[in-house]
Amino acid sequence: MINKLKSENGSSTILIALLLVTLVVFALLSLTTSASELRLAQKNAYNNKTYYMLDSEGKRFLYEVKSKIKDALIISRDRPELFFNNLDILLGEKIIRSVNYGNDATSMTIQRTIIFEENSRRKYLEIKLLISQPTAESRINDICSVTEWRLWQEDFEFNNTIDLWEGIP
Amino acid sequence: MKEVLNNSILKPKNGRAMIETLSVMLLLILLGTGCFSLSLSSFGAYKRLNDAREKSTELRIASSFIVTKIRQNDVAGSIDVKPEPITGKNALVIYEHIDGESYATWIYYSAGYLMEALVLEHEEPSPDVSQQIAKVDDFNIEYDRDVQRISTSISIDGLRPYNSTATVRSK
Amino acid sequence: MKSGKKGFTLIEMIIAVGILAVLAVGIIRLFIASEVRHEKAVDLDLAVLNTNAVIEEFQNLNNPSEFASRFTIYFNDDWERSNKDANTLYAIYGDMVKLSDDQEGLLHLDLRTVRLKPYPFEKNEEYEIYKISVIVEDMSYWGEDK
Repeated sequence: MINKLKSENGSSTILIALLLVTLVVFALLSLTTSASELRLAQKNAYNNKTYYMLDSEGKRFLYEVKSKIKDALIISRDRPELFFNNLDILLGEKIIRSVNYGNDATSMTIQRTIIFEENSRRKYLEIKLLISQPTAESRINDICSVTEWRLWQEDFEFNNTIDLWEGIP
Repeated sequence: MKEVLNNSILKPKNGRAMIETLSVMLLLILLGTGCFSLSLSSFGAYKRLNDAREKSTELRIASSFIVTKIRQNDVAGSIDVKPEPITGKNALVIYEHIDGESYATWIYYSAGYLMEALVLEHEEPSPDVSQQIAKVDDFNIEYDRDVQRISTSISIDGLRPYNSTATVRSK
Repeated sequence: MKSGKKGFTLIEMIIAVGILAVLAVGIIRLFIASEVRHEKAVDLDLAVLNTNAVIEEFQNLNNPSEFASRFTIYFNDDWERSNKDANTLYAIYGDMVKLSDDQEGLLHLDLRTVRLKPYPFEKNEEYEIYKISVIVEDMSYWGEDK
């Protein structure tokens, strides 16, 4: 009975089929590795974009502070000792700052954290500006200098916890 | 003449002509050659693609590592570019204070790898205390202090170099 | 006419060669597709790096608003800047405008990197590789050098 089922015909087709299965596996492997490489490159590009998004918001903030400094300089032209008081008033309540009274000169530190959140992951840009006591020839970029423009993000943690049902419906 | 024709290969023998056998053999040879060359070229293409992918991955890791390090440590006085003591090539140095101590993170090139070493500020980095970041063939870094711009060039033989630029915003 | 001997028949060989030819074309197309994806990944990496270089150049320009509001930078296949010629393969199209009337010292810079020739087996003439928008400070607005 088994001998009747044996046949040499079509053996070459079977060989071809086996070979092609192997080649298809290699081709699909190449395709998946290339696709994952493209995904990695896209991720890298996206991270770069988010940095520049934060950077742009930081530039807006810096511009806002410099405008206030310019106004404070105009107001304090006749009484330069009131520069920091006037600047304090102009900055308003939303901007975090602290005034440092040194022996030689007063300065002000302004702080801002810009947050970008996506998919419950956050990226932060910490900005710290140092406002120095202006002199007669001071330029705005000498008065206001950036001491920190730091990007950081929370450490990535795997969520290994499983919520167990406590038996209470 | 008739005998020649009678004995020619065109005369069927046992129900099959010689020409049929020859053509099947030729097709068999063609099939074998086709299979062999297809396999060879597929394996070669896969190997070449895999090598290129690995190299470009290393370049991507290295260049984004440098740029991210600069962006994450952009604090006044924290970033510097100076020659590494052992090889003399420029390296990126990042200073930080941890628990009251001053540390320096050196990112430099040594023996075919981009290396990172965290040492005390006055210490010199060495491969023993360093971690390998990426396998590259060359790493160059320059700091234009007038415009506060750091330019890096990372290359692997056979691929275009990755040239990155980052401006240090803090003064 | 079956002779009862073992071996390969002619028709079997023809069918086998036919199947091999048809499926080999499909396999080769898969390999070409993976090659194209790899090229796209490398192009994206280099587009990001070169776009960053342009952005950082603008950060340091004293008077960026004097620069043409629309500009194009051409690159050859090695990503070296060049004039537009037969070897030009990539281009960065830039568009710069004032952010708003209230914020004259800030400029909005849009950069778009494209590949001018299509990838193998693709039809897109200008394939957009990367696009980014940033805000750049115009230092001359404060009436001084950087």
